[in-house]
Amino acid sequence: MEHIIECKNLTHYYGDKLVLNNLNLQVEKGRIFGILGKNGMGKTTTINILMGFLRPTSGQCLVFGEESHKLSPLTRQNIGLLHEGHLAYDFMTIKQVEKFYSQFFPNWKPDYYWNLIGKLGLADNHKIRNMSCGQRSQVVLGLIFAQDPELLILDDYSMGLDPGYRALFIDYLQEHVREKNKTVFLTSHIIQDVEKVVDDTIIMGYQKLLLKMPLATLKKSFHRFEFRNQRAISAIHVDDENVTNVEYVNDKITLYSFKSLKDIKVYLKTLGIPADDITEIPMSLEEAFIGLTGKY
Amino acid sequence: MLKALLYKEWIKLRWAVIAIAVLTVLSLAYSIGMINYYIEFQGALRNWMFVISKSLLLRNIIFVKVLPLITGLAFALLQFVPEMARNRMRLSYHLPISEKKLLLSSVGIGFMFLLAEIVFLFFGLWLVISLSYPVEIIQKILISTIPWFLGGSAIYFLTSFIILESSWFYRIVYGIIAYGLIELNFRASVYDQYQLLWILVLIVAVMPLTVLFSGHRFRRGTK
Repeated sequence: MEHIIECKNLTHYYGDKLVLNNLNLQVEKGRIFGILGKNGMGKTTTINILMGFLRPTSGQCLVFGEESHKLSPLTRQNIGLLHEGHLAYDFMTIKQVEKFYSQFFPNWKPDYYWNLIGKLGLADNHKIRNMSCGQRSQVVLGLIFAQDPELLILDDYSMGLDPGYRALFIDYLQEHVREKNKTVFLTSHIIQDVEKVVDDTIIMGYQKLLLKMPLATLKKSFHRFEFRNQRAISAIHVDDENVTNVEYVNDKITLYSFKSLKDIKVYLKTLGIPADDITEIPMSLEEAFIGLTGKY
Repeated sequence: MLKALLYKEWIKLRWAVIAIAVLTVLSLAYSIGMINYYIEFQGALRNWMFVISKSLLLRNIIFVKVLPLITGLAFALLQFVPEMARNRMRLSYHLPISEKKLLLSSVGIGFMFLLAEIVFLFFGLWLVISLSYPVEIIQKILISTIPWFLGGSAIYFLTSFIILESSWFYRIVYGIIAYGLIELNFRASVYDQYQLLWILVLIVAVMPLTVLFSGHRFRRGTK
């Protein structure tokens, strides 16, 4: 399997503060890969390293086989990058920005850009600085599509977008990348959107990787159980084997685990905790994310 | 690619280029009036004497000192502040062009516009003083203004260098050094004060390279 992105033992410090600790990840061609994590867990740091804006303290990141801090102009031609906050040359107009970028990319596809821009109903001489965040996101996405790169890196694409524009962004992205077998590496803090689009995910916790697997596997193998037992509150502890996370509200216990209901019943029995009313509660990706990372 | 960069810089600079050109024309028109006023009230002979012995004209054509400074400063601010706001420079760094080529092309294009304004001012000044003074005085005045034009170039390169720096501490340190280097060009107020003009030219000639240093520090996320 061809790896478009490969990070090996990636570690990064800001001063004394450890942000990334031995992160390993591979992104295969044609897959949509999502990094999830709470704020400050190193998502943007990872993207900055990938794009050569930050040199890791140790470890290595390869993009198309080249070290990320030494990407050649030819390789950058093949990477569409969406910066956090839909960064754009906002002193340009819709038309000027297309004219500017088109001269850098030999495979430029103006129709992709103008089709998307046409939906905004704005004049060609409309300045980007006078657009809403949602409108700007469409301009940026249109430019990336027109560039027609093999790899798209999207840093927190959902930031500042209302639900309508988020849905529009996801619809266009999905159609474009699936149809053309593109590879996508994205971060977002809106997890229900990520659920619709990603194939593989990693969930980053404080200084460690909490999980790395295909989304379908995560949905199938990660479970949430609920039961009521006042005495069990002090008896159940998080461990790597059975309990990924546990939460209490009064006597209601919510337990997250990669074990099946049957295995958890056995586990609780060994602890001497009766849980006859234990049931599995289905989860969305957002609930699974909270289950893995905790609410705080 | 160079054409695209030229297009981007032109979008940022065009109004300033036009405004400075208009300001130059107005300043030159004012100086014609000023010279005529001096000749009329001092008499041509007395005026020539003052211009030769007291550097009268050189002391009064302040706009030739100020315009290159304003132009250099304005062009650097207009070019690089929008790039640094919200780290927009990262958009440029992701373009399929080498970092050195990008930075040197950007300051090269800005300097080209600055040079065009300077050449316009220089020949405008030559034309204006040639209406009333002999070739010896014209030569003295024009040679004496060269450091001011170099000062305009210095402020352009050094302001670009400071804006591209990502650390405020270093910006202040560079600012103090830059002030000293720019001020070197404005010490003379009489003719022939600069015996070693070529040293100033040499100093200004290496200044474009400074943007490579601060630009690279920004690229690497150095604070």
